Amino acid sequence: MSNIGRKCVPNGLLVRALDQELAPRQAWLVKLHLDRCESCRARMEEMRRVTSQVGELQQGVLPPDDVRAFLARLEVEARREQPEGSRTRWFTLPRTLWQQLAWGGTLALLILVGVKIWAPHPHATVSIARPPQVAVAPPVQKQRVASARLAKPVRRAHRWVKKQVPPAAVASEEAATPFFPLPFSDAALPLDQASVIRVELPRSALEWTGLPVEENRREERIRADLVLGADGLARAIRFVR
Amino acid sequence: MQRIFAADGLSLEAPESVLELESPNGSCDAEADPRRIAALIFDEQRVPVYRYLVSLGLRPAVASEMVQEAFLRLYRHLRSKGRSENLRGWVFRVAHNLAVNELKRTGAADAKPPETGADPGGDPEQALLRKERIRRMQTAIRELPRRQQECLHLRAEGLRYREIADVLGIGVSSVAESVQRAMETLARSCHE
Repeated sequence: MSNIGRKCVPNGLLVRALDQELAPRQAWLVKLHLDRCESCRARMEEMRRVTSQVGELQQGVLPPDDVRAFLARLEVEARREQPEGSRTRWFTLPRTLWQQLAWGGTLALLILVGVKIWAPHPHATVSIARPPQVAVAPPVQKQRVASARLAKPVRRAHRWVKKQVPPAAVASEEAATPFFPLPFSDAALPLDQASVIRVELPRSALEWTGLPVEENRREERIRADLVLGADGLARAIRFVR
Repeated sequence: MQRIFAADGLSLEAPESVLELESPNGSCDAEADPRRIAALIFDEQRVPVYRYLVSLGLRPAVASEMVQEAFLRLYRHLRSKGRSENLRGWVFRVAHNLAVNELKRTGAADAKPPETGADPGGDPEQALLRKERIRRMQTAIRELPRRQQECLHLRAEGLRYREIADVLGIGVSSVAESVQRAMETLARSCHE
């Protein structure tokens, strides 16, 4: 740009100078050059003449009633919406960041509450807790004490089983282990319409649930309650003494 | 400008609040009545927009309709609290897009050049020369690439390079280059 004062100005700069699109310093340098360069001044005049001729070509006369027609359309458009004062605004879109955050938080809270309320009933998907994989046998306790220590789904299943077991069986002075899911049953299957049956099994059946069995007592008989699903398959077992 | 125009519901005289809507950077007060702003800008810019649409090749009746549509869209834009900076460029851009769509829909632009107005009178020989010069210029402009034509016409309507770039969706340097090339071509054609 510092050469502008000595060298001829390119057409691009001349046009931009004509359109007043140059920075003040550039414009000043171009003007300085034009003051002493006949050739550039002639080119500048040529550009000015062409610009003027192009301007002459920009012709067009709008219809005389265009303003009235536009205002009529504007009026119709404005009447389509209710007057601002008579409208009750129940809801307006949040505009500021704080409003958007508040709206977002409220919405998330409502969704959480809704999910909590409308989530499917736990009975439908109750699953029986898996027994611990340790080889130590849990002490056989009174049913009341054992159920207090069980996981929530198992306690729920336990209560349900209690209701299903005949009163005579519950009332008797029996000690029972908690219910254990059978290894070959699907614990996620619903317990609806399940039933409990009392069976006698060899003591070796304790191994199904990971409980230890004394070698010399494997053939002894032991009583057990089996939970049968509606499909007839056994789901869980508890041993009764 | 003191007078807007007569219309039902709008006053003939523009109140001072309307006249002060236009800030130095070309933006408007967002809280002002959108109808009044649209009417004011329509009054100021409808002829340049119309001339630009005609120069793109639209027939006058279609161009007039497009002008109204563009300003109605401006009103809707303002009513929905759209941005209020550079509303002139906004209207030109909408009008340009409407025209481009219309030209695509109906085919090529109107080949017939617009009328150049009545002869100023005086010397018939001068009038003939002027007519011939204008005809040559029209031919030269029609032979320019489309982009250069658009830049040239928008420039002739007084838009700054930045505004032209916004209307056409190109860079400012592209606008400067297009204008320069167009001017060089036209200057050459005038000498032939």
